[in-house]
Amino acid sequence: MKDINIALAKGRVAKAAMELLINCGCTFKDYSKDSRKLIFHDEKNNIKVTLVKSPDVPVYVEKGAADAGIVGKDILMEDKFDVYELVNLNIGKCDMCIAGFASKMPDYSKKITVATKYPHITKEYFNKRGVLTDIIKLNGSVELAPIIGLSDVIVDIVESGKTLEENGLVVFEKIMPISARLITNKVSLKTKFDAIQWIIDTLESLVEKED
Amino acid sequence: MINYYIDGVNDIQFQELLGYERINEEIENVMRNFGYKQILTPNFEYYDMYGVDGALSRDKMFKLIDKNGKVLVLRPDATIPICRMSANNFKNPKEILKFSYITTIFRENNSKTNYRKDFIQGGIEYFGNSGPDCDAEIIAVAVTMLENLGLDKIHIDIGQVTFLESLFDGLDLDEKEKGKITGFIENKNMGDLKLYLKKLKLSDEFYEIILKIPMLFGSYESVINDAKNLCINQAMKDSLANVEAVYEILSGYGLSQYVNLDFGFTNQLNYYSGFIFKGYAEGFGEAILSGGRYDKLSSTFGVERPASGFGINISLLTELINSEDNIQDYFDLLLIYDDETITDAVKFAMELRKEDFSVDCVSSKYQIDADSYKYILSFESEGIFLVNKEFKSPATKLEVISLMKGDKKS
Repeated sequence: MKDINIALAKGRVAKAAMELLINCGCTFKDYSKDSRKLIFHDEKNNIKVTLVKSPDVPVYVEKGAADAGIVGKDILMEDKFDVYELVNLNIGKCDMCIAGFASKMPDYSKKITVATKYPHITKEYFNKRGVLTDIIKLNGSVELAPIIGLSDVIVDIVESGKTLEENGLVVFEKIMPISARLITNKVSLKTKFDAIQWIIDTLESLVEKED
Repeated sequence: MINYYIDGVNDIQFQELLGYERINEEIENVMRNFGYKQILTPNFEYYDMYGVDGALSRDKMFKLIDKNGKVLVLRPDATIPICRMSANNFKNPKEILKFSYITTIFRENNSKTNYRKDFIQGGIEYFGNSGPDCDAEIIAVAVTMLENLGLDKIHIDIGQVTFLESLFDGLDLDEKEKGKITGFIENKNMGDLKLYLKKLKLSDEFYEIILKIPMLFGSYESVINDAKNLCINQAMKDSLANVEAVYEILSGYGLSQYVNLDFGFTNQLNYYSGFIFKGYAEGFGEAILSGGRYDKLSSTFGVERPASGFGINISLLTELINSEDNIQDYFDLLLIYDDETITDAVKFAMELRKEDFSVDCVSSKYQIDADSYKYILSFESEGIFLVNKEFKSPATKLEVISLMKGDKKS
C-alpha cells in the first residue's frame, strides 16, 4: 500500500497535531517535542508526516504533494485553496483579533493604518464594516508596529494574549475564532479513500470526545 | 535588457509540442470514433455574453476593447461559445448535434498554486438529447480518452446538482444561505457546515440529511442506496433515477467499473442542470476532466435545446504524462554547404523533399545543434561526405538516396 503523506504546519499546530496522531495509534520512532527532524514515518500505518511552514501546507495539499494536511483556519481564510476541509480538529485554538494601545482606541470614521500578517482577512473584514484602511503586510512581530508608530492597530491571531500584554497592547475586538483543520487533496480523498477515511474517522472520534 | 516574460504563460518548445501533438491525436481519434464533428469558435466573444447566469467569475476573464468600444473577452470557456454557435447556426431544437473541439482557454487564475493564464482544452458537446443515453455516452468518451492515453487508476465521480437543489426546494432558505451551505458542501467542510446549520435552526431531519451529503461519495453500490434513503421528494428521486440509468448504460459500454458517485459535487459553473462528473487518474493532483448536463443554457441564445458535454485539460496531461518523444532522428537529413557548393546542395535537397524526406540546409559558416538529424551530409568542393560523430566518409548522391529510401522501407 502507498504511504499517505500528511503535511503539518510547523510550530504550535504541529505539536498538537502530532499528539492527536499519536493518540490515534500512530507511532513515530524518532519524534520528540523538541526534535528538529522534518519528516517522520509510521511504518505500521503507512503514514508519512512532513513538517512545513504553515502557509505552505495548503499549497502542498492542493498540488497533491501531500494527501492531507493539518493547518490553522487563518491560513485557509487568507488565501483560497482548492482542497477539501474535512474536520475541525479543535486544536491550536485562538482568535483573530484587532489590537492596539488601550489609550488609543482607533477612530473608525477616519482612515486607519493596520499592520498584519493577514492582509486579505483584514481588508475583507474592514471593507464589510465600511472602514477605510491602509494595510501594511508584515511577516512577524506584528506587535511592534503600533509601538514604533508604523500603524494604528494590528490584526493578528491571539492565543493567550501574553505577547500582547508584554508589549503593552490590548485586544479591541475578536474578529473570529481560529482552530486547526484537517484538509485533503481533492483527488487523494477519492483515490486513497480507505487510508484517508481511517485518519478522518479516528481524528473525528477524538475531536467529538472533547466536545 | 528587459525581461518581457509574462507570468503564467509558457513558451512551448519543440519537444513539448510533439507531446501535445501526440495527445491531441489520441483525443481527436476518440472524439471522431464516437461521431463528433470538430469545430472552432472565435478567440473573442462579447463580454456581455458571459454575463449569462453569472456562469464564470468576471474577474477571471481577459478583456479587450474593439474599435466600437465594445468589451470583448478572450475565450474563458469553451461550452458557452459552442452553445451560442449552435443556436446561431442550427435552429431546429430536435436535431442532434455532436461537436468536438481542441482550443485554448484564457483564464486569470486567483489560485496560489496554479499560475497558468492559458491552457489547451479538448472536449465534446452533445445537443438535442436529454436522456441518460446521452450522459452515458459523454462519460464513455471521457473514459475512453483516459484509457487510450494509458493512464493508471482511472476514476470517474458522478454527481447530480438537482439532488441538492431539490432538497433545498423543501426548505425556507434565501439564496445567500443556500450559497453558503453549497460552498461548505463543495469543500466538504464538515466543521463549519455543522456550525452554520445549527445557526440556521433547521429541523433535525434536514440537519441530518444535509450533513450526510458531503460524505455521500464512494463506489456506486455503496452510495446509491444511502442516497435513496435521503430522498424527501419526487425531484430528488428523479435525479437518482437518472444516475441509475446512466450507470446501467455504462455497464453496456463495459466501463461502469470506473464509475463512482459523489453527491457533494455542487453547481460551480452555474449552468449545470443535471448530472456532473469529474475524472481523475493516478499521479494527477487535480481533476483532469470535468463536465455535465446544461439544459437551460441554450435557451438564453434563443433555442430550447438540452445539452451535455465535458472538457479535458490537455496542458495538464502534457505536463504530467511522461513524454518519451524522441527528437533524435526527427529530421532525415542535415545538408551542409559552402559558398561553392550551395547551388548543387539546394538542388539535391529539393529532389529529396519531392520524395518526402525532411532536409535541412545550412551553410558551414554557422553552428547548428545536430541532435535531431538522422544523417548529416557535407557538400564540399572536394566532394560529398557523410558525416558521423567520429569521422566522415566520401559518398555519392545515389548512395545517399538509396540509404535513406532503404530506411524508409524498413
